[in-house]
Amino acid sequence: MANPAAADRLRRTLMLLAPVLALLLALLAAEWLTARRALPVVIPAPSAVWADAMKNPAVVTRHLTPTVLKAAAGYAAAAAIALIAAAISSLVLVLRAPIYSLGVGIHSVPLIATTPLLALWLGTGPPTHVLVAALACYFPMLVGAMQGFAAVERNRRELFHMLSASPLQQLRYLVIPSALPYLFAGFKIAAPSAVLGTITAEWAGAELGLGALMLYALGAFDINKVWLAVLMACALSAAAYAFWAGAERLVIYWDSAAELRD
Amino acid sequence: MSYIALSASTNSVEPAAAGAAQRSLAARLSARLLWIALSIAALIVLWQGAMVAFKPPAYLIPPPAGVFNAFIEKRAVLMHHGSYTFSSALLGLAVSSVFAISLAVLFVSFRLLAQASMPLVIGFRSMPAAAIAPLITLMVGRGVGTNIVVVVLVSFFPILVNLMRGLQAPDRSTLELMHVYGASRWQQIRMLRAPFSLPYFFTGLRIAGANAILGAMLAEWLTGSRGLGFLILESSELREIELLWAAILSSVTVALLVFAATSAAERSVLHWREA
Repeated sequence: MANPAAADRLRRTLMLLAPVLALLLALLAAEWLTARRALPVVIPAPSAVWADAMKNPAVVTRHLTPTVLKAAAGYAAAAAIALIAAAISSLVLVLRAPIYSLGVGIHSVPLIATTPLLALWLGTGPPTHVLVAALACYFPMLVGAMQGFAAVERNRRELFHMLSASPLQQLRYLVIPSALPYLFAGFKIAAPSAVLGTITAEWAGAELGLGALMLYALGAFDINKVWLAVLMACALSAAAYAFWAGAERLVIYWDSAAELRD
Repeated sequence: MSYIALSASTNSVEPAAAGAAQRSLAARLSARLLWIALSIAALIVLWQGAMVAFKPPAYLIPPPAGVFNAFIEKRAVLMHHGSYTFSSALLGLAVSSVFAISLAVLFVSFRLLAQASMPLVIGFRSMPAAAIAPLITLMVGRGVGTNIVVVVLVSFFPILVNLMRGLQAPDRSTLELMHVYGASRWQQIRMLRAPFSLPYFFTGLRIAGANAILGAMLAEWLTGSRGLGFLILESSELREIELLWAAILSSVTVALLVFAATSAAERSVLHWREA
């Protein structure tokens, strides 16, 4: 146990474990209290929500799948555009300021006010939902990519120059590794936004999707379904974040925190 | 030390200097208003020009005159919904300010409490308002309560975070001076930390104000009873394009009004920074 790395790992595992334990405790407490009818009717027993989901799993998958697909499509489109825009801005310095201000403009458009307008223009089908998801998550990725592409240290670049590295080698061993921490930071933050953007767009009109399920359930005062939809939405946005956090752990094996601190 | 001297001198601004400052403020304000009016006029001219040049179908963009008509004809409807959104946003902001101030003061006074409750605070902070708004609707009902709870949820943390930073802004030597004078914990907060934190508080309040309008409109989508968010969604579904545009422009106006309200509060409290 004298090994500081092992102690650090243990501490980190405990930090991860604490919220899980707290969640389990909360679930048990809710179960116990609802059995004694000590909670208001709008808080169902966790087991009731689970039983409701299991009674008709098709309902869950029918609404979950479209939201996942639309969020992923919007996210992928926004990521591609952000990467290309950031690459252009790092190559053509004149375009740096306009690309950034356009991103700020997109970020400051209130989606709550404009989504109904988009629904009117594009219909209430998947294209609107994908577009809103992309608009919701574009800016963090743009910022991450722009910072990342500008993050190459001067003396490292000089070293590569002295060793007469080819442009491709520079890209592979210098630009991409130094950009990755920033890219992951942006991609992580953006992932839940894509999910939430999709759900918001679905509120403005959708046949299927978690947002539609929320509205149906609220309209029918189906308490279990509302909770189910909300929990799935939270789990989905947390999973989107966790996916990129995990990918970051796998890809960046060096201490990127030290680099971000500089 | 210098800060205390500075705040002592604020009460005795020379009348002539104050008058001049006020005059220049009025001049600046009217210049700014003129500039805003000119850019709005330019926007309308551009809009009308684009209508004439490209002749887009009416469902894409209505002509400015049509939107203006909607403003005139439906002004009662717009006022009804707009005042609801505006007042619920302001009410929510007031509630979250009170909560944030008390919590920040507690956290700064009792370190241990802050450390113990930080995970809880972070957990609350990472709850996405858009995802849990249906739950709030379920619990609070379809009235103004949901609006206020959602507004509090999205406006609380910007205020708390900025206020905490402000309360910790006084530098070491000033804190030591207070300590040497034997100031109590409460005196330390009231005389030193609170005045230091005010600019930070208003920064937080401005961010929270922008969030508050969005939160209120988000809640109105779900409750579907009153408010600009409801009006925007409904007029989109009923294909009342001109009313939709008028409602969107009204929501922008309400957002600007909230911004102006927070800025006015800031100016009236922080008048000494004007100079």
